[in-house]
Amino acid sequence: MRILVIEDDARAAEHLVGGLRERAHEADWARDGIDGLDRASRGGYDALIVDRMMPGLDGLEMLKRLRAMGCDTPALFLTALDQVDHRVEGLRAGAEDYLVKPYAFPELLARIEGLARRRTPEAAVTKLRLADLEMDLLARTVTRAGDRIDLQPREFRLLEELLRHSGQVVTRTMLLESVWDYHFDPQTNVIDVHISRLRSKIDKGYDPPLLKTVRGAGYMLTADGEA
Amino acid sequence: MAKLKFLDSYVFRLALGYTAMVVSVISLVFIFSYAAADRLLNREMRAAIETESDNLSRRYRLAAGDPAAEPNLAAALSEILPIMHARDEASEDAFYQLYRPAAEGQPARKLADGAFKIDVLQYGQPDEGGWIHATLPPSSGPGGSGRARRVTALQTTLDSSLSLVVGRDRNQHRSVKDTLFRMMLSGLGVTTALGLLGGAVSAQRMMRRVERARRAAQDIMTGDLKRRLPLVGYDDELERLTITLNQMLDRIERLVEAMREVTDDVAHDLRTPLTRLRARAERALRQPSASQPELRAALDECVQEADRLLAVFRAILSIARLKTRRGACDEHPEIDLSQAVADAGELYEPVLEEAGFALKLDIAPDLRIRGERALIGQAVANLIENALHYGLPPEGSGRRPEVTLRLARRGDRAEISVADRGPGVPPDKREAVFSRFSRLDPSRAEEGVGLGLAFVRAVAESHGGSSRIEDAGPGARVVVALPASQGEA
Repeated sequence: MRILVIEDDARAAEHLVGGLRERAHEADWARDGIDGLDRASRGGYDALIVDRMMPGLDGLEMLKRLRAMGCDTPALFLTALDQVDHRVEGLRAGAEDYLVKPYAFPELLARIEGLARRRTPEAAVTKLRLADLEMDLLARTVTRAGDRIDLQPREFRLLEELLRHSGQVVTRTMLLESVWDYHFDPQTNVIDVHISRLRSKIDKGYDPPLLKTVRGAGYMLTADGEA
Repeated sequence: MAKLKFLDSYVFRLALGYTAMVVSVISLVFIFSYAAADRLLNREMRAAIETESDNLSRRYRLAAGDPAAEPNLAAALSEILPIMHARDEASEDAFYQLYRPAAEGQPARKLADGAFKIDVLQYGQPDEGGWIHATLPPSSGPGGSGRARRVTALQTTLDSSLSLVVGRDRNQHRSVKDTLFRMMLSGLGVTTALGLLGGAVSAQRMMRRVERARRAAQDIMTGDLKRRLPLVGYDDELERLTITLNQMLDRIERLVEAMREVTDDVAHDLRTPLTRLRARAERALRQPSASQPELRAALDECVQEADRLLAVFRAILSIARLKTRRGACDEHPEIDLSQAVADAGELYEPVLEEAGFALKLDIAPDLRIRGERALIGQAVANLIENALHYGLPPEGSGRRPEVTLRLARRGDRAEISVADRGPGVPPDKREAVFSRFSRLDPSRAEEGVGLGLAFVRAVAESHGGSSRIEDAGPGARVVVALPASQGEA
């Protein structure tokens, strides 16, 4: 993936770009809003990481202009402002996702990979499938190897979210946001317990196990042997 | 300077301006009525002069007899002369005179010279109607008023050889006009005095109120944030302004207080873990023989410590932010509180179960409040985590671990409560646990950040509600009471 990092702080940008390259992504750095607007508008990027507060042209304004120019490269806002209003403002300006500083790098990575993947339209999908695991979004049923699996509504949402991102890391915060619509970090491992319940329903007694834990990052639904 | 300070007062200047306006209106009215009175008196004087002249000439002609025959002029003259004489003497303001009209190059001559006070024709000539307007020099006699006298007189022809002049001093109504003038003048004086006095008194009173407010404001400025502007107890515009200003001061005090708490907390409570973090990193650096796994472990610990620090930091900020917008949730849209509480309970149910707790839900349906779902969710999450950490029944009590999440309507409040069956909270500590960084058991200081209940209270208060701890008999029950929307039962 080609990713453009628009961040005025050189050290933060260095960490980001370095981290992304370690994960075999191509990463470029734009040092301010003007530079970022210039590079992003030329196209060729799969995702943008935009620092919200920059001198001169700030991230919010930059993204608005970029969207007005017709550029629809998915963007993730990085910000130190974590109030709900700010999140809404950022999403309204055209950002697809929003991450509050400080963040854990695996969290950023999972989100940015999810973003780039999200570009493929998913509106027409009524069935999600991974190996022998099938989900019918209309009938709201789940089967594994032809056996019907009973899920609670929330477990269904959880599995749907994982299936939509199958093959990608989904972090606990991402699940808390998309499934429960909460934007805080619980002190306890609530998500882990929900996942282990789900796992016991969809993986217990079947082979291979699909729901994997990615250490230090989150979870991944994949049919590959190794995560 | 200090004595006449009210001259600088806005209220006094207002009163001054108003007084000046009233005085000028009164003066105008006075000038018009004075002129009207003057005109009226003049007209009456002329009428009196005419009547007098008519009378005298009628008498003269009567005494003279038939004009066709030989008139008895001497008799006629002696008929009117004593009357005229007597009247001329009787009043300072009445003038009479007899003349031989001007003829054959001779000027008019006084007849009966010396019999009358003044020769009017000497000072003025009659117009076509016979009217004379003359200004007499000041009379120097004992009865003289010492000022020039203006006289109006009428010349009437008695016969070819004689004419009569009857005059009156225009100032004969002096006393009437003087009285009028004095009345008006004293009226003006009283008005002005009252206006000035009233202005000065109101200015004084106003200045006292403003001065008191100013002093209070100065105290606040120099740091006494608890001080408020004094109220006087009337419901006037100044009082209303003061009330609004005081409300503004309340809010500012709250903001400053919240800000101060943040800086205190940051200084006080982040320093220790930061020092710990630094020490841990430093120790790892100083160990020359440390193996790769040892260094990894040290780094892991550092990251954990940093995460804990960030969690504390975030909690401090959210609490401060909530405190600065107390009551602001009134402006939020209505949310389904029952759903919000149930969602939070559902999120925690598996964790509780895994930790051996039974979760009992007792959630009244369709309760709505104005507020923020995310905040309510986080508050309930904090309460459940609290129960999870501190709500384990004491060993040997034989009680089964249990958490009860309730939502019920009580009057105009919606009450969320989370109860455990743990050791409970002693009554004397039930308020203290809501303060920041308080933990009942100091030995467990490492667990949690101690901000959970402080956050819950901040959420409750930002929604215009309250929070308290009760005895769940056994166990502790934390209750969050929020103003419920009307219409829902």
